[in-house]
Amino acid sequence: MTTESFPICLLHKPTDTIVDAVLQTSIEEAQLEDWRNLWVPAREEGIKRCVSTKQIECIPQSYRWKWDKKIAYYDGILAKRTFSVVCNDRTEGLMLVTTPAFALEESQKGKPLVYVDFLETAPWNINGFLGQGEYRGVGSVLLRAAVLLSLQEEYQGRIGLQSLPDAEAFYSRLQMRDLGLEHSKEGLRYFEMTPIEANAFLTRGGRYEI
Amino acid sequence: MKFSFPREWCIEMAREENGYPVSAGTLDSISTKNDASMSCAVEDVDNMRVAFGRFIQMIRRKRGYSHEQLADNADVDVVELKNIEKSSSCFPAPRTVYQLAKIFNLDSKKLLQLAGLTKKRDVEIENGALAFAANSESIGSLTPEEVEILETFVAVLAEKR
Repeated sequence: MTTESFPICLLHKPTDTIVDAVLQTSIEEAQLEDWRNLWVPAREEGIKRCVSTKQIECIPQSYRWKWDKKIAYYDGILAKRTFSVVCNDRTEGLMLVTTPAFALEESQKGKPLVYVDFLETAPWNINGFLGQGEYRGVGSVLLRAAVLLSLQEEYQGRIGLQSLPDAEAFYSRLQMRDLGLEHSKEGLRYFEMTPIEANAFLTRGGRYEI
Repeated sequence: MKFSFPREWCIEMAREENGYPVSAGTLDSISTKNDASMSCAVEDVDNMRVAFGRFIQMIRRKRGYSHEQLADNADVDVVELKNIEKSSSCFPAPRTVYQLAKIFNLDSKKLLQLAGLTKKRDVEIENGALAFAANSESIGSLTPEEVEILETFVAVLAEKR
């Protein structure tokens, strides 16, 4: 599958400036190199800092994730698709999705959706882990890519995901349907976006084109 | 594939994220469990979470509750309770921890601390948790040694300020 790149922009929090970046429709070896050489050392440094200052709650709940193993594990599986956000030649976010999975929300039950297996932003972008966070908007852009993929696959924008606890408030703000722990994996809340919420998310209430 | 990311949309969402960590996915991911390459710092965090799950399981068994009985009496979700016990990486809801503290007559602040849900840390609890995690098994009947470990730790957690 050919990798495509789409222009996006991010907010550079320390300077409050908007910077250009790209969303790529794949995770390439260059992204895994960034993960190994930049993300992992940054995460280790952050964890050590949090442990030494007794602020374990500041450690991102994805602290165990290993993207090289995830990608190797799913290599060649057609139902898996990957995305990445790159800014100034550095990887800022990664996402792996399954298409199709099937909706559990009552009004959409059994209909196909894009399931977000894993979505993570670089450790230096996480507010409170290594300072105030460098780039904002990485997660939203990846989520938009999942919804756009859902539209392209004619799933009407339906997506589903298991939220890490820290992120629940964000998904609630997007009015995603909280299906609670009933469909949980490892005690995580399961959220779905129906076509209505997908449209509201993409257009921000009709103010932007899809 | 034709995707569009309107500039103003990106800016609006970036400001709306406002520091919320946006992430999704299960906690125990592919082949990361028992990974020898994990750092000591990561292991310390894991041990704290192991301690919380094992503690809840052991004190439940010691008091003679089934999962359903405890969930019912403490008014907590039985699925969440089982997840707390079985998954070292389960993050319980604060209300659940409060309810469990109440039913076991423990200091809720200390139990929240053990669950990693408060900023305030207590070295005594952390040391106790690490020792507890290292010395307790999660299955079978409680041995006399386990009962002793459990009771020592309960004493630390029950001491209300």
